[in-house]
Amino acid sequence: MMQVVEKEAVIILENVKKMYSIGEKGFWALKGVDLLIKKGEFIAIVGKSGSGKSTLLNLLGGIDSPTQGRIIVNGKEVNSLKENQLSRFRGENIGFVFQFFQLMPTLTVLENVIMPMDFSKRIPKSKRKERAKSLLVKVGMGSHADKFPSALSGGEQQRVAIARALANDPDIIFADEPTGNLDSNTAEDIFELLKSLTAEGKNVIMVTHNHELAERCERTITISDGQIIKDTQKEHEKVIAG
Amino acid sequence: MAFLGIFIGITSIGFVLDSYSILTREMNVNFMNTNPASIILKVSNLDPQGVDLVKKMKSNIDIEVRNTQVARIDRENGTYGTLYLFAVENFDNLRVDTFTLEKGELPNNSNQMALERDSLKNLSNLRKGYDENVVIKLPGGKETKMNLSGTVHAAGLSPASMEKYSYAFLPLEGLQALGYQGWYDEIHLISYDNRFDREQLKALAADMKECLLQNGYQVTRVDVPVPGKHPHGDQLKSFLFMLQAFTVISLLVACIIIINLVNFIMSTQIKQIAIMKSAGADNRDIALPYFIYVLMISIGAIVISIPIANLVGSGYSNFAAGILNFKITSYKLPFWVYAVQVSTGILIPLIASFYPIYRSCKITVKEGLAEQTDSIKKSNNKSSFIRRIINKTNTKIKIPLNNVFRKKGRTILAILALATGGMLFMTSQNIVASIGKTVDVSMDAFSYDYSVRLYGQYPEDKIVKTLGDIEGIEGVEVYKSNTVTFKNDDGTDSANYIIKALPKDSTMVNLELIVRENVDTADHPIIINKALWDEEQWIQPGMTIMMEIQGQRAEVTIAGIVNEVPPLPGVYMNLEDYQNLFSVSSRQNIMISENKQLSGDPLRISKEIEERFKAEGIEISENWNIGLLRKAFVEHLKVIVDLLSIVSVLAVVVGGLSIASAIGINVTERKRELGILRAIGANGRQTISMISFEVILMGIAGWLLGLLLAYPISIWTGNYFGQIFLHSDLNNTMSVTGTFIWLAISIIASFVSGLVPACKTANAPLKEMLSYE
Repeated sequence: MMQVVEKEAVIILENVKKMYSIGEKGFWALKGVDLLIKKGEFIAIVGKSGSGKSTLLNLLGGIDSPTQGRIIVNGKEVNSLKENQLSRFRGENIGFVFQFFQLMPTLTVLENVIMPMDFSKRIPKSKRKERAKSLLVKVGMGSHADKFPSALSGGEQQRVAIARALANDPDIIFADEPTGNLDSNTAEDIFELLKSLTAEGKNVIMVTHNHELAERCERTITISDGQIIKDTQKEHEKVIAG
Repeated sequence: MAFLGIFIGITSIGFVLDSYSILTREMNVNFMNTNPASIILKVSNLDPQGVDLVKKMKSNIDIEVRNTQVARIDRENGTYGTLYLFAVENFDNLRVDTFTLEKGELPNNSNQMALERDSLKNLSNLRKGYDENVVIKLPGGKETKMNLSGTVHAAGLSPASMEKYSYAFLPLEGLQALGYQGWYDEIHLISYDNRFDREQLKALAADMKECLLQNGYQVTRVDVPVPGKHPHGDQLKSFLFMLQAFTVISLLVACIIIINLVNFIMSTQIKQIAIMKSAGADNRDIALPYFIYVLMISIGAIVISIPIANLVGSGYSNFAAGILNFKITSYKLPFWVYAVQVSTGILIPLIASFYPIYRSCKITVKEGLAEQTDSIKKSNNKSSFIRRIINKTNTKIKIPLNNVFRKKGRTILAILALATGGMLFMTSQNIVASIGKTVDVSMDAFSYDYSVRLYGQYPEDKIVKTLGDIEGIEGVEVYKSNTVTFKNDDGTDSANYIIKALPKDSTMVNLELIVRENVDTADHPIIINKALWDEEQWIQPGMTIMMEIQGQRAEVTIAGIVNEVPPLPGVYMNLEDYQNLFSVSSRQNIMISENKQLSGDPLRISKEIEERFKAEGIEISENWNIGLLRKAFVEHLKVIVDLLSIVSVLAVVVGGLSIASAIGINVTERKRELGILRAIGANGRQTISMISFEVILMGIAGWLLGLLLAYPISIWTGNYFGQIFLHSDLNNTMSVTGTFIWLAISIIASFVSGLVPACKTANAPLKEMLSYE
């Protein structure tokens, strides 16, 4: 059983710790986290402000590096990669969705989606535009391809951000408070969109303050004080085992 | 960066002011310390009674007698230089047109002379200029070995290195030992009563001349120099003009850096300002700390820049003094120099930062606390012309292009700073090119390469035959020269000028007149050059005036004005007409043109002329290689302009700093955005490329703007420069080489400026970039 679980593992964290230097003292944002994420899981990471959830997300996404421990994503030890290798790794394996959308204001919607493909060059140049258009259709923004982000609503911008995150067909999508800046109806739409991605076999890992949405995820990891205090998947397995 | 901008601005002001105050003072001190003569009378049969006669005419004057002869000095390479020999009455009691001993001793016997120190630059055969022997020959005399007893400094003379002839001082016995027979023939006098009133001095000189004439003395020349003016005072003016241009530009660039930086600082303080206002602070409460901050930086910059400006200003003063052959006796600066530096250093930054601080303090609490939105988001989707063009490009070019135009004000200021440096650089290059073109155009009128003056008169066919045997000589023309004065309507004489009476069918002189007045039909036409016209502004084209040569007078008509380089005042006349009007002894001169393909070594022909003439018994008084003279003249002008090139490179560096500050601010403001790009897959190289492309775009814009600004400035500055040195506007042209050099400089300067922020961005921790607000 354990061997089957490891084969499907997409992300593995082994005793991951993260310390920040604040003045003369150090602050441990993560105090030894072990985690195993399987393929296709839709995970919510919840916790109060300062609990370490954003730190965890940054470590998972290769945006930050751990003080101790190992992080293995898609079989690669991420914390040992150099910056350029990390950039390439992110471009090929990971898509990011941010709270404030973070679209390039000077590019059109279509160009925003094409941009990651230009960086990673995995998709042939002749196919990038077509792919971008199809991704926009997928997220319901096909008719807005030539508009600039400033012409879109918050929800529409976030849809475009999701399309951008999918540009290089990554296995994993990290979303940091993707609904934090949206009204409840729009938040619901975005949540459903993210959830639909897992049906394609992608992992979606979402940091959120919204407990209602978190409970609807397949798995919820609760962090407090730099440690995982609750993991609904383990409890489910306990129940099965038990 | 703000500190650096203020520092550079204040240092440049200080440098200019220091140099200006030192140079103008010291040139005057040096010159006036020589007790320059108010009047110089040349009297061919002067004796001690004649001197007494002049002394009795007026009280409160000082008189010395001299004799000036033009000799030849052996350069020991087969050629001879021109040497002005000044016979001095009493080396121990110099009172007028004095000089000081530098090295060695003053002459104390007839076999010795003292060389003016700047002459050493013309005489490469000499090692130290004293305790050495030289061979001298006066016209009509024999070659004599003379001992150089020492070197002297005669600050009142035009620098020998610029004039290309040398000076030496010796006792009258020394001149006599060289073959001169006679007494002193010049009276140098100072009239202390009206020392600085040229009109009164001219009147006094006229009276003295009249008195001498009535008593049987032959006054051949009267000179009344401009009181208090060093012969090269105009060149100093040009040095200082260049400096002033640099100061204005440095100030401008410093202002731009300060405005950009204060703008950025204030933009990061918006939230804090809003919070302070919500707690009750008014505009004054908010603005005051920022002004104090700018003031503190200014004071810090002033403290450091003043001693540095002193150092650089003193160094530059030394350099300029070396070229103009005077000494800096004191580096003391007047109080006003420090006052201007301090007040400028405080006021300019405060003025430059006023608007950014004022604008930021006016923000409301609501505006300040609202989420920062990019100016693009605030747009109402109207697509400007620039944006429409940008949208046609691909993504990788579009991002940097949009970023360049995102904060137009800041970008324009940064580009302007770089462009001002380029404007200075291109102006100097354009002036150099224009000088070359002006001299070339002038040289087209004078197609001869050697000018030889003879002592005595020789048959023309003998001259032509002797020179015809020299390989490389293509053409020979003989003309006459003399010294003329013109009679003013009020009876006074003009200054003395050289007249050249040229063969009518001369192929070597083809004067391009800038003003013509019946040149073909006027009675006894003469052509004057612009330099003379500037000196004697009462003379007008078309005028009939009385011209006098050695006491003989004739009416002539001013038929035209010609531009000439170098601008030595002179007159041209047809030889036949001259000989018909004036039966006087004249100097015989030869113009020689060479076949440049055969000539080879420029000294060979000069040497062969010397040898052949000597063999034929034709005595040379002066032998000039015109091509080398003109080249030296142009090079001398270029040295002054090259100084501007050097300082312009500094201005370009400052301009590059402005680009660096602008791009640094741009990158900092977009930290999170750049972090997003890296998060979604942009690697370090791609990040650096994007930012580098932005800065290179700015560099190219700076290049273009610099070129455009330089064009009118070059013309104005070039003409100003030309009027000082050439008494005419330059033939203005753009330097093609300079254009490409400036392009390379602006691209490299901007690329280097952007490299640090680009590399920092590429290597900064991604987490910090994404969490930047």
